[in-house]
Amino acid sequence: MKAALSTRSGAAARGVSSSSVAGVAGVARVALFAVVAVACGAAGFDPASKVDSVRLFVVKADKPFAKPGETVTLEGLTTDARKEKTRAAKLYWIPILCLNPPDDLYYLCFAPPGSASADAQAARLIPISSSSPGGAMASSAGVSGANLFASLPTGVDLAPFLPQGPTFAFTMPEDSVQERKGIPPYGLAIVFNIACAGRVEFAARDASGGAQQVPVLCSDESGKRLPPSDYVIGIARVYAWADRVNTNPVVESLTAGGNDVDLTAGITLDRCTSAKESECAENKIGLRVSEASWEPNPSEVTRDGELREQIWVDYYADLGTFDDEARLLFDTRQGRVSESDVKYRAPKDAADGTLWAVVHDNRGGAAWVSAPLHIR
Amino acid sequence: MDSVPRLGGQIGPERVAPKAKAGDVPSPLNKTYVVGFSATKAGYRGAVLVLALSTATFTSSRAAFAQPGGAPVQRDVSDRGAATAADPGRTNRPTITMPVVTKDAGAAYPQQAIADKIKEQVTIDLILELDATGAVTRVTVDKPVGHGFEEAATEAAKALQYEPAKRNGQAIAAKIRHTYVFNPPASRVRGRVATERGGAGRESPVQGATLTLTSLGVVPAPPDSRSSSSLSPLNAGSSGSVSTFSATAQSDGTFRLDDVPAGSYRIVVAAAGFVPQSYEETLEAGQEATIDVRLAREVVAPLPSAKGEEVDEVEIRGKRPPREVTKRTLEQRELSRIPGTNGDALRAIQNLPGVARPPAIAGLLIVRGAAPNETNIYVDGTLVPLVYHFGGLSSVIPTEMLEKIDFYPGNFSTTYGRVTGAIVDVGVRDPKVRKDRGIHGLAQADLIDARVLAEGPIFNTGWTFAVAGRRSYVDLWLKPVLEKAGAGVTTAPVYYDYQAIVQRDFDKKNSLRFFFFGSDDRLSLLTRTVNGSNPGIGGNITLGTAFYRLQARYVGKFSEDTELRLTAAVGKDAIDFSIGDNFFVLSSSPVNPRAELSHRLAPGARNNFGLDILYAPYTVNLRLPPPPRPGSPPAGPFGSQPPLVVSDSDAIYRPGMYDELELTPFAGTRIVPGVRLDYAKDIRSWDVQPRVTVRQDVRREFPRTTLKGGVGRFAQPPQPQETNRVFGSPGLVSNVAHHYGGGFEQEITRQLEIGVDAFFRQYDRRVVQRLGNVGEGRAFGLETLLRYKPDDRFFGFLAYTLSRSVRKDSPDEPERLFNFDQTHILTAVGSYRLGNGWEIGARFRYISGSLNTPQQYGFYDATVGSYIPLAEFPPFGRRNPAFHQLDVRVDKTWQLHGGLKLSAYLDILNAYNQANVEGVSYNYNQTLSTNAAGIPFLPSLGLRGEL
Repeated sequence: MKAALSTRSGAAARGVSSSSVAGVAGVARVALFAVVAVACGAAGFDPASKVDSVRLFVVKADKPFAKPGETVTLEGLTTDARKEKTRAAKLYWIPILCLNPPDDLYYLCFAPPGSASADAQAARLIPISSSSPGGAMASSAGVSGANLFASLPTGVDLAPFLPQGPTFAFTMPEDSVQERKGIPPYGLAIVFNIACAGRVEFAARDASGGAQQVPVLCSDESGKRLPPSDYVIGIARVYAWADRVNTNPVVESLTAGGNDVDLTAGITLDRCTSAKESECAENKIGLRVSEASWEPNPSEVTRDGELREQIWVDYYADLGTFDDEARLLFDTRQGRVSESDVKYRAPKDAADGTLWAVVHDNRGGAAWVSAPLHIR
Repeated sequence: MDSVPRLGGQIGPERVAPKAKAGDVPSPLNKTYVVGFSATKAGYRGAVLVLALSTATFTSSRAAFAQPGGAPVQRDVSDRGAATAADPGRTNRPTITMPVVTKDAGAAYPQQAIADKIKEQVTIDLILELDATGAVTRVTVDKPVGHGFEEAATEAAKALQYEPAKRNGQAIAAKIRHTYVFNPPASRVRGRVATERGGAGRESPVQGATLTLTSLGVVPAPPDSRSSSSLSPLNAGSSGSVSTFSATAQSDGTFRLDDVPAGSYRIVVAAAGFVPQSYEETLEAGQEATIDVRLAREVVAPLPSAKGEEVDEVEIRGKRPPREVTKRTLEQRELSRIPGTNGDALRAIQNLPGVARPPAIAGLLIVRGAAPNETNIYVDGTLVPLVYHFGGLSSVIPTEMLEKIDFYPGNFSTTYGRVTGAIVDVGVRDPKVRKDRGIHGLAQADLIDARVLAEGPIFNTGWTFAVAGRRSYVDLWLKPVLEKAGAGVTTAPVYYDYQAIVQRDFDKKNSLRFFFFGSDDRLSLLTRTVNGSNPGIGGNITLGTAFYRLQARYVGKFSEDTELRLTAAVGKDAIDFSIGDNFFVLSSSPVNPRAELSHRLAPGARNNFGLDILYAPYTVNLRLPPPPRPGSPPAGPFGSQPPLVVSDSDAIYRPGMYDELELTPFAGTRIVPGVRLDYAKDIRSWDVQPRVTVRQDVRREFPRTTLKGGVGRFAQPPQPQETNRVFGSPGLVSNVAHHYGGGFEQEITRQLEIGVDAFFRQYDRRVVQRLGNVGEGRAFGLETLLRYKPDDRFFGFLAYTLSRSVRKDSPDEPERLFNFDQTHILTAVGSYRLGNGWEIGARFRYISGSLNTPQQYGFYDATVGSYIPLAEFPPFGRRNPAFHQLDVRVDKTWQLHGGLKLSAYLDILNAYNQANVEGVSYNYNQTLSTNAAGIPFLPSLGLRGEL
């Protein structure tokens, strides 16, 4: 079950050398608390794995670490699981590349100049021409994002003018890599998209609303904002490194009850006949990712030897429920994690649906598989 | 020169002439007479009248003394050539007879002089014109001095009656010089000497205890020396210019000293078998001082009767009254019996006024609207990095090792520096030695940890020792819980702490102590589940925080006026924290020498000069995500950004020095101006911090009333991470806060007292990480403490704080509430002894809800697979519902054979199971929320054995 608890880390610091002790202790407390909270469940909300709305699961870049000048293709995984689909949901891409926002803060891509949150060194916003081959940008010069967003009209349906579909491509600017403190030079390109079952408009900015504001909205024909079930505003990050590489994880198999699943035939399970959901049969669902996916994670400073990626999987389904739907597959030090299967309980009614398993590594890599669910 | 008799009697400590003998006849001419008398004014003895007689043509400067009743005496008589009847060589000249006083009511000591706190002897010379009947027709003051002395002398002189001067037997008018010598009326000291309160809150009078007052300078002579105790013999004497007075306590412990000259004194209270107490006091003319003293036994007495229990006193003091603004004292019974603290003294601090309630899982000290990192924790003057295990489970030094806790919520002395908030200085007690010189032992266990302690003499070496240790067993029950939750547990959370002391008092003036103490917290686990909101928080999680200190302390009294206190500590801090592929490894070896030279410059003036040096070489290796901007949302889920790395070895060097005066110009007045100078090598910056505090007793006797106030500048260098080349900003200077405080203390009954403190704290050039010295802020409020001091049955207090704390993270940002702002903090604590070893207590708290930042549906990080909430701006804009909770504690003590004492307690947290809101829990995309409750009904059972 995914849930967030608003807590304060209490990054206490005392004295000189003591500050770090207390600060780290504060982070550790939060971490421990998070573990316990996840373990114990939270508040009885529906989990993220229960899909009943417009959802964007992941945006995968074919090159999670791109080199300057390389073309990167993004692919989004979406679904529309609403019971009533008054309007079709589509995935729209905002054809503006936000390059190297200050401190990697995505919301500074559209902070207007002069605002309290805007930095002297603003993000570069680069319009991307959809007519260019592979969606490559027309120019790498870019303009002030604030000016660009400020010049866009509000109340106008932008959907007809936006690139649509699961994929979107751009070219990483040649000068994307820049010097940073405490880390080798890298670049960050951010692409925004929106899975929306309606009109897409630019949102008017609230002058007193702080830096973190949503630049676009999803509305009905009258301009009324649609509920969260009808849209998702996505952020996709692609890092540019001159000398580092990262490939997406490779899914070897999806398993159900320990057996590989034919991704075309899908998984067939009996419906739950018990009155209580907790008494429904538990079906183990697992995912196997290749050992080669566990790539080294270079670091100038190490602890206990070489670091490698952390890899985890998120499960989703539009039927039934999961226990602990997000599971660790590879730990950064301990490698492959045993007991990474999740428990799936079928619904009480027979139906057909879909199960998705989305794999992430902690450097921006992603992969997914999906399989039909047949509940008898 | 005439040969004249010397007459008189002993007058206090001053050198005096012997008493006049019956039949002595003074020479009538050129003699100076001193007439003593007892004033009729209440509360003091009268002045001594010095009467100098001379004719209109001849004057005399001779001085003489007389006892009350007017018997003339003479001393130091000199003749300046006046003809006398006894001068046979001048028979041709007329015979002149000097006027002789026949009526003298004496002069009253002026009230104005008392009000003006005049402590010196004052002499008023008058010129009297007498008519032929001997009546005073004119009085002229020769040298006015003010303070009402001229008026008093003139009025007294007008009432004088003389037998007129005569020439050849014929009465004539005369002009004579007349002198009054005013000595300040004496003070009176009374009080009681008793033992410290035992565990049952009982005390015993200390019969035979001696109270000795030694003047800290020349004191004026009282009018007579018949000072006495109605209950004990009294001795008074002098040595050179130093006078001493003493009294002995009677069977009920009371003593009384009358006719003590006003002035400053060192007061020593001593009794066989008890630790003497010594302090300075200024006695005002004509006033009565009350001194109640409790003496601690030098040895541990056998355990008292079954009804009682022997518990040493431990003090939590708000601030030392001589050098700080306020003083609050909680005795150990209060510290160890406050419900909800499991008897942990350091957690008891969180109940004091001005201290906010930390979040449920955070052991933070939030004092007067200051951030936790603005409060420094010291152990006997040595800075320590942690005070609580795992952030709040229990403190790193057990209550049994403590002598006192000095808590300075603001306006603290220049002794302390480098923080802008508050100070906690934990005083570790000396090892006990039993009467039979055996070993004193203690063992205690509850559901969280177990501890042992042993102490006593080291054979007959003169050294004493104490060793103690503690280990938690949280791991025993938390490990299965975590494993059931799907975590792989390598090391379940566990903590240790340890203490060892060896000490020797070489004499009463020199003491040497070595103290080794430390703490170690560890956990290591693998989480197989992933946090949906922050997938980066997962995987392998390890935490190790440890520190130790070896501290040497020397205290030497070079003289009654000069004391040197040296403390040096070396040690190590170690942190090893990792989560996923992020880690933080720090190793530091701090050296922290301190020295303070305290010297009494003059009566009522003491100077304290000190050095306070911190040198900490360190090595740090870290790999962590960039920290978020203060007040701004993060860049994404934890771990979504490439981590920053740092590998550094450097040293922190921060020398400091201070000088502080303790001035007592008048009784009941205490002014402490001081200045502290700090240097921080990492920012190459000096900070000059002047401070001053003032206390004024409006009424010194019961019921005492004291006004107090203080103002000062406090500087806090940036934290290491704020100046770090990767995580921080270049060119930083220290944070600065100005403290302003004032208030009063009022005794209501002997047991009940109230204190009110108002404070205002202004923050300037506050460091905002990654942005610079661009922050501002202020905190202000009112603290009230109504306290019933422990008696045989009951103790309790009611603390209420009204406060507000706000911050600005840059000049352009709007002002926002400080993260831990709590408007109302009400704490009521009470504990009652039922008898037969039973005691029941309760604590009720009502506190404004903590702040949270509302979140709503926002973005989706499609790379990481996690929703990013939209955080309301400005942050911390919504307050949780008010917190209220009742905690109950029941204790039972058994006295067994052989001096063994067993006790058990049940400490129930949240007795009525209130679902207090500690935060807001959101669903995965922040479209739904609910309040997250804190700790539910939670009983804790503990057992303790002591021998």
